Amino acid sequence: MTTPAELPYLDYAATTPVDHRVMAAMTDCLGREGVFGNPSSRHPWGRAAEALVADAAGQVGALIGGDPAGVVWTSGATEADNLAILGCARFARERGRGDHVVSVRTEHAAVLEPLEQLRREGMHVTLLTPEADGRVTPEAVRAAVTEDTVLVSVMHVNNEIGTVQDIAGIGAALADHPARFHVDAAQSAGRLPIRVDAWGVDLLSLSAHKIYGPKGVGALWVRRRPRVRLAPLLHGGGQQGGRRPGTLAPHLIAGMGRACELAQDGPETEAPGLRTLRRSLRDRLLALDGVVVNGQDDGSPHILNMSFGCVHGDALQAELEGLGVSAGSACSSSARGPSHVLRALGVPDALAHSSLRFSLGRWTTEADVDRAADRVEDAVRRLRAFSPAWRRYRSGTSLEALYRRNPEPAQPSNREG
Amino acid sequence: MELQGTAREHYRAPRNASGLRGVGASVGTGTAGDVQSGIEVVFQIISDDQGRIRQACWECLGPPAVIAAASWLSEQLTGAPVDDARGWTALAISETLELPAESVSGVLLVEDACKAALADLERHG
Ligand SMILES: Cc1ncc(COP(=O)(O)O)c(C=O)c1O
Repeated sequence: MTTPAELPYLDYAATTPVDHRVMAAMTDCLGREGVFGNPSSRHPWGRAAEALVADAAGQVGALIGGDPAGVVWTSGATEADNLAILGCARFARERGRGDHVVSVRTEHAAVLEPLEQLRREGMHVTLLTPEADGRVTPEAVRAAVTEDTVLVSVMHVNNEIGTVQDIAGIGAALADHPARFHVDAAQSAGRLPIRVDAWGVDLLSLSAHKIYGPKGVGALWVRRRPRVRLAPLLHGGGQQGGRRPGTLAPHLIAGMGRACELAQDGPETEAPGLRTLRRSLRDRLLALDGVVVNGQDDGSPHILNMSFGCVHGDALQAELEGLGVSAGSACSSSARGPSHVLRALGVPDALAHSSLRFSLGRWTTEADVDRAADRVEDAVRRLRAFSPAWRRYRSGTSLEALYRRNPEPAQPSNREG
Repeated sequence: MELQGTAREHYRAPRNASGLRGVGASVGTGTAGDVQSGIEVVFQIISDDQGRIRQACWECLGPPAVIAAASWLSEQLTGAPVDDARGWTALAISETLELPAESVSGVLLVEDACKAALADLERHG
């Protein structure tokens, strides 16, 4: 399948292309003249690689406002989330500190699945149901922790709906509780400021490929003071203090470091432009009527999720063939049925099925957004022209009533053509 | 779920879509499915005084295969004797249009809506 360059790519939350400046940093590590050494080796090649890794850790630390020594390199945010959750909870349980974990129903599968694993191992997991816009309040989190709680995990920006959690507020609410606080920041990095120290975050997951770095590398930042300890997932040669053994990949790490460096002033330089584009896309599509924004009206600058009422999700998708957006349950495979995130928000399944996630990025232009909006408008209008649901909506039945109940039979009223 | 040939044509350019009328003699309207479960089909059949279908039209909230099926069936029915209309089943429509197997349950709603329209026509007839 070809990916026609003239069609807009609006799926930056799924992944981003690698910035050419990142690519340059990566290729510098590969060849015979490059920094290709094994960072664990004690000869000049190894030391050069070790220095490069330390620089990259500095770039990660700077992005998130934390000690670079806390950086543990992983294969991505999935592994970082697994290491944080399984590693932290198992370690605490082995020490008899408790067996309870608190998180939220709208988390990424990379958080929910390890939580499910903890359940299988006999631990207790509380998943909070968010407010209708996807937020959990610090009070709700605080109310869910007990004296057995060893870990709280709340994502910064939701990958499907862009809802921004009040991480600082939740951190403050947990300040007097010994539970560790983990944050999946895969989507917020480079779009919103992150301050692990100021916010009282103990563990933070990042992924390079969401911030114009390469796929296959990420990091878990782990607080050093007071020291947060983890039971490792992998066992091997003792690299990274045994927290995540395995030979480090200088080219991936250099790429991630450079990507973090470029992302550092993203919240000031890129986010305002993204926010403007997001608003104009949102407002244009809202004008279609019978459309709802899922999540916050003004969530993360790069993610917009909307449900298009009175059209079928498969037909909408068929109409948008070739457009780079995510349908249905966005981030993962769309064959999985209704999105667990939209369900947690209380969006009816049939409406969730006709939802689209638009995610904008470094190279998104006004023209891209306009072309995408044109396509979606055409598609929705065409399908609504013969939709019985749309007819009822136009004669006064609310979306809420249409999708939750189907009260009156579709008896057409007398009308022209 | 890629549509082929005739089905694709009907999905791209549906015939007899919309334009439903109100209740009347010689007008039969039937509905199947509902918004909440994702697919809803409304079928309407208008007969002439010779027992033929003067016009068949429909509305559909559904996936491409179901839209194609409703459009195609409406075309088959237009001009046909009312009695022939009872013969169309979801299976026959799916086979003729080579619709993907997973769409049969949706196409059943087209059959159901059509049958309901015929029954309604009888009542009003
Ligand atoms: C919030 C969030 N967490 C985790 C991941 C998984 O990241 P990775 O692909 O680096 O494993 C993603 C992206 O898919 C994400 O959006």
